[in-house]
Amino acid sequence: MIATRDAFGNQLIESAKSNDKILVLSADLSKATKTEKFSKEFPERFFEIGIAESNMIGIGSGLSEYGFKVIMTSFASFLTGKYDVIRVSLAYSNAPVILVGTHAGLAIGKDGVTQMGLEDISLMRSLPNMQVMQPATPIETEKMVKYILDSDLQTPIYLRLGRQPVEEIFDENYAFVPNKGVVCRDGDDLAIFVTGCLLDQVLEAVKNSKKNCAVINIHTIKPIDRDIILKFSKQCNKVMTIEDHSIVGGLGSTVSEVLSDENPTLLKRIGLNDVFPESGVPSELWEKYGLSSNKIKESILEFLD
Amino acid sequence: MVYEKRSGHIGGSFSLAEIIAYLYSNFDLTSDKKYSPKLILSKGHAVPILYAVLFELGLITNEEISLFREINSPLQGHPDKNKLKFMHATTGSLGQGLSISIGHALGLKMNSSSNPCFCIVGDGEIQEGQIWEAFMLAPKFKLNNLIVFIDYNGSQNDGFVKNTLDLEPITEKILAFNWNVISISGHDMDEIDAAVKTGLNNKDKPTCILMKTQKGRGVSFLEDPVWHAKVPNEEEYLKAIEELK
Repeated sequence: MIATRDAFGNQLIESAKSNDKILVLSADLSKATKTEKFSKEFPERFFEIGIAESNMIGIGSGLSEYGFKVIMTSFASFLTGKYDVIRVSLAYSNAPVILVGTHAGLAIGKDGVTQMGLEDISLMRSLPNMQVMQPATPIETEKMVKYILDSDLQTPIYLRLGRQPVEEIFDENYAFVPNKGVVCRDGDDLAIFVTGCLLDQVLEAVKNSKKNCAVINIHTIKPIDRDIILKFSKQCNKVMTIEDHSIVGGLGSTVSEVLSDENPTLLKRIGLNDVFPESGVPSELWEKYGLSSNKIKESILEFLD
Repeated sequence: MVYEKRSGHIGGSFSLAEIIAYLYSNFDLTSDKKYSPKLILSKGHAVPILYAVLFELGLITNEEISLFREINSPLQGHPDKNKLKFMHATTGSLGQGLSISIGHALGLKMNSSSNPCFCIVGDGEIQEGQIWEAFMLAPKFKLNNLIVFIDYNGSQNDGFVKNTLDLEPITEKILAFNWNVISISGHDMDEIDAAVKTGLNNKDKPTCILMKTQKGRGVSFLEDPVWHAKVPNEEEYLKAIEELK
């Protein structure tokens, strides 16, 4: 098992072998963000900016004017904390760069709240021009990153990656379809929309359930796949969202907006319940904050009761 | 422009008149070519001086000037590169333009262009932390094609810079960050010319040109900090036009 950040680092090197326009900017976390291997293989295309995320973001904006695919990496919390720089130098400027925030959610565990990306989707989603993407498994990450690096980008992208190794759900035949949710399990009692590295936990939670739950993986939160949300909300009449992120402004809010606009449906949002969590072993944190497969299973039963 | 629209920043635009005239006269800053010289106005509130120059060059029309800060206009209150192609960066939130300029300077070098990237920052603006991140980094990449001008007019929104947050000793600070530093009068074309040439002839360091300027230069009463974002009334406007003749 590997993490989505590992799959990102591997695909980056694969893509860079045939595309010499790919550049990586780092703010001193290349080991953790898995760009260190790239820095060794392509030193002339790797720029160590130092612990200065705002500066890195501005430099990436300038470089993007010259036909480069600019990838900027740090922890999700540190990157998106530079909100005004991202707002003006990237989003309003419409600089076609890829902002990669790793260590999303509770997975960094013992380091505690300051290192956890818990509001990043909310922040990035609020910016016009910005796309927000989050793969769930290594294979999905590879296909998504390859797609991004092969396309002619027109807008900035925020790519959210996880720290923890995750079970592979897909196989090599998986085809990444931009902006489309992925049905991992069909069902008609409850439509569960999940984004990112909790997908394996959600599938585990519904595996032996008496209830017939549909599980849909949302790899692109903005633009959101409205069709799949409407289809499954009509099919199941009850909707749940699950994310390793605050329930304020993340996937839950996004789905809620779509439902409110077009098909009001009872919705239960599972995520960080507008709280700052704490240090701890990741598995214990997911358990305490309701994001382990056990807790997800309980929430489903309670919601369907 | 500012008088007609009752909005805009006159003082900090006037202090840049000579440097903007010099740069547009000596470098092809209005080219469509990707690897042409660049000018990033990090102190974006001084954008009226860029619009005035573009108007003088015949690149924007009287009608467009009349829409400055109006709805449906390419002439935004601060530079917007997506609405007006002659703007090389979108700025206005202070402190961001020098980092963007480093990106341009790197981009030009990596494409084997010998063209420079110029950046203009305000003196008050360098109170922003991101500016110092950029000052610290640029020498690492030996960006001798990067020249930053500090418009040292001594005043900012709320008053004099020295009372708000003094920059001194500014020359020593930037020298300590391993830049070339050249101090000149920002209103002397010969000094500007000599400083820019010295900067561009440098082999391996970025250059900072510290320009002593006067806010509202050319109009006696505009030199007070109160004119950072103040709009003249009719009497003041006519008096200013008279002084500028």
